[in-house]
Amino acid sequence: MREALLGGALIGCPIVDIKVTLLDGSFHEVDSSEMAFKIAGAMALRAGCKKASPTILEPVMKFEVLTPDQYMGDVIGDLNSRRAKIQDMGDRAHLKFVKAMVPLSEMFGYATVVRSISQGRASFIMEPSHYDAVPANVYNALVEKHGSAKER
Amino acid sequence: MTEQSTQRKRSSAHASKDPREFPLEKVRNIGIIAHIDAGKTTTTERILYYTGRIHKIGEVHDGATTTDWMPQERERGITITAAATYCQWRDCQFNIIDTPGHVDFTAEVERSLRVLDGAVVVFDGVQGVEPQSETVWRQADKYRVPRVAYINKMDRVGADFYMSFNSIRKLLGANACAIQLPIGAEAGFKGVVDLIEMKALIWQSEDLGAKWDVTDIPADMLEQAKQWREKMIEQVVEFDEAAMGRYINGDHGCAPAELRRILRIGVLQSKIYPVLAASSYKNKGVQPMLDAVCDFLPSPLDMPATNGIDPYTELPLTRRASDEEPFAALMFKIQTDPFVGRLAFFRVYSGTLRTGDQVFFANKRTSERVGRLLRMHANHREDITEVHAGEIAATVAMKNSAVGMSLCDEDAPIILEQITFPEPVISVAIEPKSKADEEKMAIALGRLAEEDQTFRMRSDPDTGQTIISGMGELHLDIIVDRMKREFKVVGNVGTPQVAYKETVRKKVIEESKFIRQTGGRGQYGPAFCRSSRSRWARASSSSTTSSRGASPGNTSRPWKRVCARPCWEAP
Repeated sequence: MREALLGGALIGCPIVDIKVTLLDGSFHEVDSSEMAFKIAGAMALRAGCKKASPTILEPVMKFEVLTPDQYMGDVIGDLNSRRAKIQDMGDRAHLKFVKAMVPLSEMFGYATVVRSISQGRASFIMEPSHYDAVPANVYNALVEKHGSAKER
Repeated sequence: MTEQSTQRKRSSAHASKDPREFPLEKVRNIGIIAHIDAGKTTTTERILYYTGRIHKIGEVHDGATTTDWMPQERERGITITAAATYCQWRDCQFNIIDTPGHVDFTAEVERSLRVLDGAVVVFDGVQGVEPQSETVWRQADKYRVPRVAYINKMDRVGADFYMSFNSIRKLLGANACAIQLPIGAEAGFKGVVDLIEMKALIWQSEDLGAKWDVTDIPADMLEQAKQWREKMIEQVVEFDEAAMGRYINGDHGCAPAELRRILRIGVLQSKIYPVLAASSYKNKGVQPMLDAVCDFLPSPLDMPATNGIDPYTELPLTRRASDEEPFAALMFKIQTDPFVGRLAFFRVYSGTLRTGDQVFFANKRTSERVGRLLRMHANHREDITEVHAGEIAATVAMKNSAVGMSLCDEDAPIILEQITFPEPVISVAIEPKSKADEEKMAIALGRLAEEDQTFRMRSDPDTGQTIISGMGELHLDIIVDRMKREFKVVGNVGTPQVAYKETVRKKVIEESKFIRQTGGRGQYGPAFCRSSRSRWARASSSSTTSSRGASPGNTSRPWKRVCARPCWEAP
């Protein structure tokens, strides 16, 4: 069953934060084997998870960008298009800072984008913060992608 | 060991020492720093030509310059690694480091500035201060490096010395002080007015700028030159009380030698920055810049004593730049050389080191013998037998060499201030083309990571991919290219996978039977399961302090998989 947890039910990712209790079972003197129980357990888990309104969690990053004043608007606009939740902004020395929570999957290639927005003047740092559930549209996209990958 | 005996040992070493080629006050360790394509490498090439180090000027666009020697640098016409070289001008010895301009290779600028005493900041005469000029200027501020500003490309269409000069004052907030004015601009750029001597320097265009005529200032510029000289004197006298007194009392004249002396005081304190005009590509104005470096930028003696700590007691220590002090040096760069293996560049802060000496790695508390000492001229090497305080040299094949290592005398250990590097911002996944390359790729990446502190590699435990991180797309592009050329490993680069997780939100009970009759022994294993949520939201509130960014692989895994006893244990 642990193996099944790692294999995941939706998109093949590990399942976390779950409690699984074995309620009952029966056995056959000749035909029961460890393998059989294992497979039965995995099947039950997979079927169970599908019914238990499963969801996908994605890593969310704690994010901070430092930019000169005049690019502030563009930087925030770009962040919003990346599903960022802006938490704080203000001044630091002669620069503006923006703090936000951003899903990691949206941040690929951000360094290049932020440099082109700000003519190379802005810089940013981010670090892993926590996992959070993905919104419905991303969820559907991921499940679909996984399905088509499996077919191939 | 007692203080006395070390003292004796040192003085005996001192007695047998060869006299150094150049007195310490004539050594200039300078870096050429600027925005991308401002003309750093071109300027360096001219310096080497006029000082007689090379006999033919190579051009960046032909891929023929001395300091850009890597195939990738020549192909792309950009500098990737900082190249060290040296030359002589007047009675001074110059150790020059040509640095890259791209923000992707900012680590090279950082480490160069850490070990240099002065810098020439090159500006594009058309653009004035550019974003990266700002960045390198701040980096130089951080290491308190005195600077001379060099406004290049005065021959280009749209070049404007005064605009550039003002942008330095305004955007960098620097107390810039013009000591030259350009004569003519764009295609008509002929030379410069030296405001200190009040003479015009006109280059003859035929002979690659080797000669220039010193003439009187053209009549139409005389008035302007007088005004600017007045401004300059006003800025300069601030640094000398006697001169200030004279100035206030209405004596506005100042002898050139006196002016130079006072200006130097200001420059050394990084309180004023002399500004020059030139066109490196058209070979005009390079020699006065060399003069300015000799006149204004510091020698190792002018710099404050280097700070460090005792590795055992952690008490602060200092080292003056002198051959008599105990040896102390800092490794700032590791480079893999196809012929001699790993080259480690270091800057000597005090004392003397000879081949065959034992040297103490203060950070690791181990000793090693120095095999070969090399003086570097871009990728060419010259064996030398000893290095003195204030010099930059390289050594080969030392086991413990790593960037940031302090080398010192075992009897007088010191750990010098470290070099700080920015954290990588971009990550991509890389995989070898074939299974056979897997190990080779790991070795290649390991070597490259050793050379470059802003390049990191790791394997993601969640997705199993090898992730490489760097300062920008160009940076990683070059890394992959170097891996291909130098280590013959081809890698495929892709988007890193994001490590998603799954969870459930409801409680369900599920029954499932696995029955299969395959002739002999069948399989029978029914199971009833209840799956429920154990914990939710803030699932893995990360406790990691790593800020490497971009990856969940760094997240520790505080969640618990609360799983009941495995079903196969329960009948």
